[in-house]
Amino acid sequence: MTSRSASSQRRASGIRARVFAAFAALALGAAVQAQTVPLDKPLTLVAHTAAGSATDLAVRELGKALQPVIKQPVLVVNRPGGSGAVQMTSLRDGPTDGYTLGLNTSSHLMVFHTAAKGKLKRDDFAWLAGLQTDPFVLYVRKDSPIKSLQDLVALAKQKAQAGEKLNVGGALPQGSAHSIAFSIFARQAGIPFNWIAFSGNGEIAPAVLGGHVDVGQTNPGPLIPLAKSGRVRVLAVMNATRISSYPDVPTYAEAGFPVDTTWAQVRGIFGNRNIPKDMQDKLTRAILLAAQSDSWKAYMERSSLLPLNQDQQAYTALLAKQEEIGVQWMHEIGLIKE
Amino acid sequence: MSTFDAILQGFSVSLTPANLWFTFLGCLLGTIVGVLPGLGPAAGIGLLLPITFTMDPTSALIMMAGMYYGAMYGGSTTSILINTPGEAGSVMTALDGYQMARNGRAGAALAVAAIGSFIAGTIGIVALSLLAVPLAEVAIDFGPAEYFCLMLFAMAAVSSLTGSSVAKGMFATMLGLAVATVGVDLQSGLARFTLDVPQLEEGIDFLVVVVGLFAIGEVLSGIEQYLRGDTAVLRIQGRLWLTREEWRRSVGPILRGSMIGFFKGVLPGAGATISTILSYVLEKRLSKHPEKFGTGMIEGVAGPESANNASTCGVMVPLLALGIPGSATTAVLLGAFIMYGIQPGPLLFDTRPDLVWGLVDSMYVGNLMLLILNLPLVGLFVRILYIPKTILLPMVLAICLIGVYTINNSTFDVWLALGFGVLGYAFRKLDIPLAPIVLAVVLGGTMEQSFRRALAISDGSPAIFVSSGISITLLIAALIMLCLPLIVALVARLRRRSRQTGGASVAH
Amino acid sequence: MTDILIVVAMAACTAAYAALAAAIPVLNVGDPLGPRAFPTLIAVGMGLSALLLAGEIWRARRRAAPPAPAPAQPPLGGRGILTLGGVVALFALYILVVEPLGFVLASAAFLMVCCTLLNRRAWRVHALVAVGLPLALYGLLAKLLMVPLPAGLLPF
Repeated sequence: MTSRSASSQRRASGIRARVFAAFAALALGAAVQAQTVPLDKPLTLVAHTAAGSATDLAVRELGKALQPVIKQPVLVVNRPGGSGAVQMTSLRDGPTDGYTLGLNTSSHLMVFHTAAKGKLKRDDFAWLAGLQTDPFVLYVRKDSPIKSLQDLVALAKQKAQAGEKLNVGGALPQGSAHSIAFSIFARQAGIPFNWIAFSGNGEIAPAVLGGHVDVGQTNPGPLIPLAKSGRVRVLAVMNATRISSYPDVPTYAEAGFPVDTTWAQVRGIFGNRNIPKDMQDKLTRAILLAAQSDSWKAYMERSSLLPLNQDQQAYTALLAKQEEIGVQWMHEIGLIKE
Repeated sequence: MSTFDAILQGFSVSLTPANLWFTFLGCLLGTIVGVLPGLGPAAGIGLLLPITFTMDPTSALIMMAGMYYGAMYGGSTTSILINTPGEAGSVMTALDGYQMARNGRAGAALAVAAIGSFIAGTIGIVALSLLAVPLAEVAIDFGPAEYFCLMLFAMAAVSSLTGSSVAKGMFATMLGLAVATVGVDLQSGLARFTLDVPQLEEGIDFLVVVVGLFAIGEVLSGIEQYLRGDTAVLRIQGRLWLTREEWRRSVGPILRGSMIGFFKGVLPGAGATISTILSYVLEKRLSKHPEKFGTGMIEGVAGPESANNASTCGVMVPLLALGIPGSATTAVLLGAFIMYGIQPGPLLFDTRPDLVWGLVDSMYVGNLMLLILNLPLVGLFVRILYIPKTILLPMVLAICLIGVYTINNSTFDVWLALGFGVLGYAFRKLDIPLAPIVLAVVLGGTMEQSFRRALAISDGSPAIFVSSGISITLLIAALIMLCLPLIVALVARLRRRSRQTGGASVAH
Repeated sequence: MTDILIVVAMAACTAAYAALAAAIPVLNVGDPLGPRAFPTLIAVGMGLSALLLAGEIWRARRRAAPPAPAPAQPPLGGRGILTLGGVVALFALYILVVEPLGFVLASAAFLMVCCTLLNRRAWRVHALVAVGLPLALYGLLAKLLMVPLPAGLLPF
């Protein structure tokens, strides 16, 4: 009869619904499981700068984002010295189980040819994942006559004719990632310059604001307070595309100077090369998962960093290319001989 | 909203029970960090960052600021009691503070340090509230050339600390400058004097030198005295508190120190240390008994202690008004600001007055808390001196080890400190002054780098050093500072000769 | 006598620093002054101060009356010198073991041995301090402030 078939139909659909629900739960559970890469022991991340610095903050943010993924606590240890030489040496000589890793920047690559020459090399390590790109920006004080990269180049050429050079305030000595970035631009534009080395944007900014140097170069993050308050004008960003925190700032290419923008500060995670391959893969997966978390994305956003999110293969290739460019430039500048 | 209303609103923020608790916590942790030689407020705040991830930004910044000036208070305690400056701004305090303790006036020294710090902190905060934005503009006028002239002026000031033998003082200064040259040279990228040791690439941390020369050296000297049979424990003479006389002598130095500290703090770079040097030297010059400085003059404690607390307010000026960090500690604070998505700068005063004034007002509160915390503790701290030397001295060594180890998480620094300790012991016996060494280490790096930057900017022309009013003024001041003892001696000799020849007055 | 030795030591220091400074390569990179200029100046300054000190000593010798002798101190004695050296050696040992043994154990050992070296009789008090202080400091620093200190052999 209809009522009986209706009720049995209802019962059947009820059972179907429950079975469907059960499958859905299982699938969801599996999906949730796939979002974690549980490890057996706590992980240690080694930073190569002192507590409170930008790279240290990056390490701590990563640690925070990793904990729910690996289901273990993450400890942060600071091991400054030799621009990373001390940190790298400790990783090379330390345990190879994969539970001690470090954060590297592009500057680490140069260390292989200066401080740690003959002692450390890129192949001593496994470059597990690339996390972020920190591009370079050029800026002047707001009442400077320079309004664009073209103006900057014009000023540089004008000064050159008078026997002077453009004064560029930047971080770290010549041969650092920062100075090489400007060298790349200067070659494109055909201008000579004086590289005035400071230790960080904390020193560069007053020099730019006070008009003691003509232009300053730094990363976008530390500059945000001054840029947003209108005290400085950001001329261009050395990146393939515009960046979200400075939407009105043209890229070097847009401003008329197409340069190879692979040269930027990148940061990623590395470890001892003898970590077992399957552990390496696990770590890469975990790190890239952590980079998808909300807390990490929020940190990247407010620090004006660009996501890189490269796996081991891509990151290793990128670093190889960067090292090649860097060594070339150091030869040109005259910092290394052979 | 008028500034006055904003300040009042700030109090409503800073006086909530939660924020009061965070102020207290920051001050307490800061005092501990300051007492420990080696671990400085920069590292301390850096370590607090992860804990504060989940806190309200205003509360977190209040706690970190509390740690900053709490460390200034803590540093002076060990400087005075055991000649172990807890951090950079307390080095000058140790010179006369420790001698006061040896003379039995430890209580007075601690008291004047606490009171001076409080008054200076209050003056600094008021100045910060009123002058932050306009002052930040002046700070920008200091470029590399001006910085060099400032360092030269400070070095000239250091020259008046050389003691009886000019040659030994000069050598000590040279040694300090030499230590400052160790490391990767910022202008050329070349490693100097590192002997292929990677830990030396970033230079020898000034705290390693201070802890070695002052603390470890003092311990070794103390053990030697003990072994020679001097087992006497330092007695406290008279009242634990300041006598009226001492108080009267301290008022001037406190006020002058506050001014120097705040204004020097506004200039990015080594604010605390340089302002304490300038304050000490100023008090020495103004005093009727300059030769007694170094034997326990209370002015030599009141001035520098006020200067270093006022400078913590001064460094907030470029940080809050421009978003420029003037020291390692403010760099960490700036990192915290960015972490919370807060943009420091003049807009901050308009867009987040609750944060700015909540922070500044919490500094008033924190200062008061520290005064209340520290004054009764004077009696307790002084009892530390009663610990028998056989226990106290090894304890100090252990504390030195931890303190230095935590700077870079490495035992290499501790070995360096030990080396400096043995050197400091030897220098004490040979009568070679220690203060110029330490001060030259602080000033030498900036002095050289600024000089070379200025020359690079001017494409090699030295005219840049006399091209601004600020540099010319500082150069003249440095010259006067250097020649003052000579001028004074010359005038005195001429006056004596005119008296001897009797009658005929000689001009000047 | 000691002052002449100081002059010699200063001269030796000057020579060493000057030698190292001369080894600094001067490339045409960076500022016009270069990395060698300042160290050279410092070496000159050191040499000058050695000369000045020699001058001061000579002038002091020529003065009519010899300076008043310093008040006599009780002698340090061979035993004293050994003890002082022992303290330095103990500290060096402390630095060596602090990472492998951990902060608490290394400090306890150092405090116990060093205090007792200076005063054999109060060893009981020393034991108390040697156990109490490192634990208190470790708890304060490592746990409260989360300053990384080597844990070494201990489980916490």
